[in-house]
Amino acid sequence: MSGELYADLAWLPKSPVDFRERCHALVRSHDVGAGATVAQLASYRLNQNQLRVLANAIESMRSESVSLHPLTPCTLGVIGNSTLEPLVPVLVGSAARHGIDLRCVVADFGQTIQEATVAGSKINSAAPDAVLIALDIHAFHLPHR
Amino acid sequence: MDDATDAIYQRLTEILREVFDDDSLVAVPELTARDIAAWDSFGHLRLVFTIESAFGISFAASQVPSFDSVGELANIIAQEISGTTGKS
Repeated sequence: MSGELYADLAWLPKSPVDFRERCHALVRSHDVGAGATVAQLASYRLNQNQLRVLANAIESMRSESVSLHPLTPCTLGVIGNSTLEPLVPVLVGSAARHGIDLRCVVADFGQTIQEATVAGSKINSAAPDAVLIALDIHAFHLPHR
Repeated sequence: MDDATDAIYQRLTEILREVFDDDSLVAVPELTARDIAAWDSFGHLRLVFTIESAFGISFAASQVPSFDSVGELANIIAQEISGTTGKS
């Protein structure tokens, strides 16, 4: 068993060639059962580009107040010490595969401590269900060799 | 344009559409990042990774930021495929 199994999500079915079109069609449809279709689209072996397309579709439907039932809503705060925006579509698309309608609230760059500790911060104001703390090695001030 | 170059541009058209989620995109030599709103620094990295995967090639780190146009990109891909690149 190699690391590629996990990196490539090799146990999932390959995505259909018209995956992007299916995502676009879902947004256009205003389908009342959109959540189930989102979960089905998320169940494929999606690469980063496809996860972004799916996340954009979810965001479009959310902005038009389309229900994503039966997905379970969850708000995730994301704080860290590097540029975090590229993580969001990957998290949103992958969460849908697990039945979760994930909404991410991302802290501003370099505001890790403030976002975590100040009551009125962007993260605390959003009252997230969970917070992802994504710190890289530079956060720990380890000695250089 | 010879067949090999034409094939590169056809594949690049598919890749541009996939990476930037825009079916109106067509890979032509004069197309640049300034013509595509979503082609920012992260879009550039996603484009590089997708090209590497699609063509089975690997860019040198020094090449990654240097693609100024699709024509330049296609030339580098052709060099990588033919093994005539001078990357270090």
